[in-house]
This record gives sequence, structure tokens and C-alpha cells, in this order.
Amino acid sequence: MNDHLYMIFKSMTHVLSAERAARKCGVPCRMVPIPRHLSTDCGMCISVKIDDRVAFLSAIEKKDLVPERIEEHKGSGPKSRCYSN
Amino acid sequence: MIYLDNASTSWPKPESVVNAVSDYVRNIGASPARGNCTAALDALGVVLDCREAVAQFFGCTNSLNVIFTHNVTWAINIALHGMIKSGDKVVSSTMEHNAVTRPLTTLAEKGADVVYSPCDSRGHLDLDAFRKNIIGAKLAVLNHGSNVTGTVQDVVSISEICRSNGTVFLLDVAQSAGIVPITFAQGPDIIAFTGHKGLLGVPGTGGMAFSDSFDTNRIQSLAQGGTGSLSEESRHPDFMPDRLEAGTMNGPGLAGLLAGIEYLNSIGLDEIYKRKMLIAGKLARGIEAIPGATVFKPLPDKLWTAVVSFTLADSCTASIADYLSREHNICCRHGFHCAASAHRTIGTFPGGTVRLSPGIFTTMDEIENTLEAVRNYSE
Repeated sequence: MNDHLYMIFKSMTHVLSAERAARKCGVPCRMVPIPRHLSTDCGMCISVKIDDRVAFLSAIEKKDLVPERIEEHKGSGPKSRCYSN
Repeated sequence: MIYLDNASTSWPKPESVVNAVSDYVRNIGASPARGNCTAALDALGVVLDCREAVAQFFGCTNSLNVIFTHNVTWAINIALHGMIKSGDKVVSSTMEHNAVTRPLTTLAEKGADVVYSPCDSRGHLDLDAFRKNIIGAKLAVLNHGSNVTGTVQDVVSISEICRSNGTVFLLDVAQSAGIVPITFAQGPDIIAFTGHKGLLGVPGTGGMAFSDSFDTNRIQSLAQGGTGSLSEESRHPDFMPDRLEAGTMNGPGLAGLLAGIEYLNSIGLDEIYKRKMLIAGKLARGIEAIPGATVFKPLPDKLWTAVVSFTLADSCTASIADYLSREHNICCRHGFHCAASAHRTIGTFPGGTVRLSPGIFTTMDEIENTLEAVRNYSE
């Protein structure tokens, strides 16, 4: 069962800005490399629990940020650097 | 050494700036926004912190509307060459640095209509003439503070004139940022800045900030390349800030710029301005008291960037600068300071001036010693 979301942004600047905005609002999330099956870009995206979707989007909206795409995935996400949880 | 050339680049730098550059080089090292390793993310964090600090400093609500370049010259070139085409009208002033006049000359050779609006002998823009010249102009580009006289233009009035004419206002704050308060609340559409003068960073940093109402799509990118985003696309990204940035960011430089802005914020611009006026005021009054000396600066009730430009009767400015350097190890600048048009405006062409520009760390003893040296030369 899918229980997480990949939040995919335009650039690394957008990703880090979004991660900081979410952290400031206490929304758990983690920056992870964008899986190759979702994008051939070599950047990163943000993994968020599905239950935190609304809180995350609300937090980043305050910084005028919107994900380019949102994709579901299973598990806690790849074991990459965790900034917020 | 007595360093009085802060209008060229500020020195010494705060220890926090030196440490920030050193820490980046020693302990971070990686390329910002390239890869997912801890160091690359830390590097990106420094760049983002600097972007947000610059945005806050100029009153820009969205830090994605701040781009970084090598220096203010590059920033101005991006704006001018990215917006102006053959047949477009641009208005500037007779007090500009070559960072503005040279790209404008190139654009004029390509068919742009470039008009230089007059300034008075102290460097202030003639607003009535500007109001007439601005009609039909796509863009106005002006410096906020003169690098020759330290004269500060009335940005609020100029912005109102530009807005009523539908003209984009590009403001060059190379000489004023970090000395005189300047934010988007005063009305410019674009602020072009350098990092290594009043902002106390190191050379190799600068950029532009855009107001919320300015559509950055109006500027075509001059350089395309790697951004760490949309790598699968051969076309350069069309979103900010990547759209106007290409290639590896100057991470160490931006770490230093961030520390410089934090240092300024910790003291406050009002305090810095007071300190600069105290030092530069004493220097200017001391020079003016020397027989045959003329100081070129705004009247005392006007804002000033603490630049003391002077001549001594018929003495060659190169000879004065040579004496100050050779006999007293005083660093200054002589000649045109890359702004020949400004010297025509204030009446110092072709001889130029000697420019002494104190910084926030200049001491009263250094000013006394400098005055003594100038007095010795004049005798």
C-alpha cells in the first residue's frame, strides 16, 4: 500500500526552499534523489507521508512554492539525508 | 598601509567574512545543487541562505527573485542585453560608471536609442529634464550612488517618473548598498548589486533582485548551461532563479557575502552611515581647508556615500596618488574611476580627481595621517 508521496519541484533551490518551509511549520519530510523511473533529472525531491500532504502543501504555499508533480510511493522512502523528522 | 579605496573594494573584511569563506573551502567544498551528498546540500544551503539574506536586505519578498552573478557589471549586462533590442529607447544619466555606459554604447551601435539625461555639477539628476527624456523609454538605468562624488540620487522621485511612463527602472547600487538604505519600497523594478564593496563580501559576487511586480520573463538569458535542474532538457530552464543563472555558483564567495550582510545587519545601516559620515566628513573638511584644494561632493544636507574626491590646484592627480602611495603607503584611486562622463559633468575632465574612500574600519588616526600627507604634498 502506498503511504508516501514524492513532491517533485522545478529545481534544487525550490526543493530546499520547500524543505525549509515545511520544517519551519513542523511538517516531517525528507529530501531524496528523484527516482529514475519518475524523472531522468539528476536532482532531488521531497518524500512526505500521505497523511501530511495538506500540511506540507500549506506550509510551502506560504513561500509561493508548488510541486510540479506529486507521485505516490510505498514505505518510508529511500534512506537518504533526513532534515526534518 | 592606510587603505582608502573602499569604493573600489572594501578592505579589511570582517573576520566573520574571512572565516565563512575559509570554512566553505575547508569544510564544505562541494558544488551547490549538484548531487545529493551532504556536502552538496550544505553548499546549496549556503547559497539559499545568501539568496534569502539578499532578498531581505533589499525588501524583496520572494528570494527566488534574486539571482547571483560574478559582479554588478555582469548583472547590468544581463539586464540591458537581455531586454533592449534595436529601436528600443533607454535613458541613463551623465554620472554613470562604464558598467552602464559601455553596454549602452554597444546597444546603441546595434540600433538602440540611448539618451543620457543631464545632472548638475554635484551629480544630482535634473528631474525636469529626466521627465522629458523618459517619454517612450523602455528602460531607465541609473546609479544610486556615484563612485566619483558619492552623490545619491532621489530614487523615490525617479521611480515615480518611471512608473507614470511605464518604464522599467534598473538601479545600480554598487556604491550605495551597505551604506545608504535602499529597498524596493523606494520604487525600483530591478536592483543590481555587487557583493565586495559596501556589502563586505569578497570579489566575484554580485547579482540582481527583482520586485514582485516585475515580470522576469522580459529578460532573455545571456548564458545557458548547467543548473542542476531539468538535466534531461537541452533547452535552458525557463524558471527563476535558474533561468538567469548558468554554471557552478561561487559558493565560497556567497558564503562570504552572507557573512558580510549578517555583519551589516548586526550593526545596522543607520549606525554604519553615522560612522562613515563622521570619518569621511572629517576627511573632506580637512582637504577643503588646504589652499587650492577642491572637494567634489553633494551639499551637507544630502545623502552621501562617503567618497572624498578632490583636486589640488593644478597638480596632476596621478602625481598626488603616486606621492600618497610611495611616501605614505596610502591606497587611493586617481583619474576617471571608470566614469569619464561623470567628470565631464562635475568639471574635472580631463584631469580627473584623487578619490579617498574610507570604510567602516577606517580610524580617525588614519584620517589624520592622510590629511597630513596631503598637506605635505601641497606645500
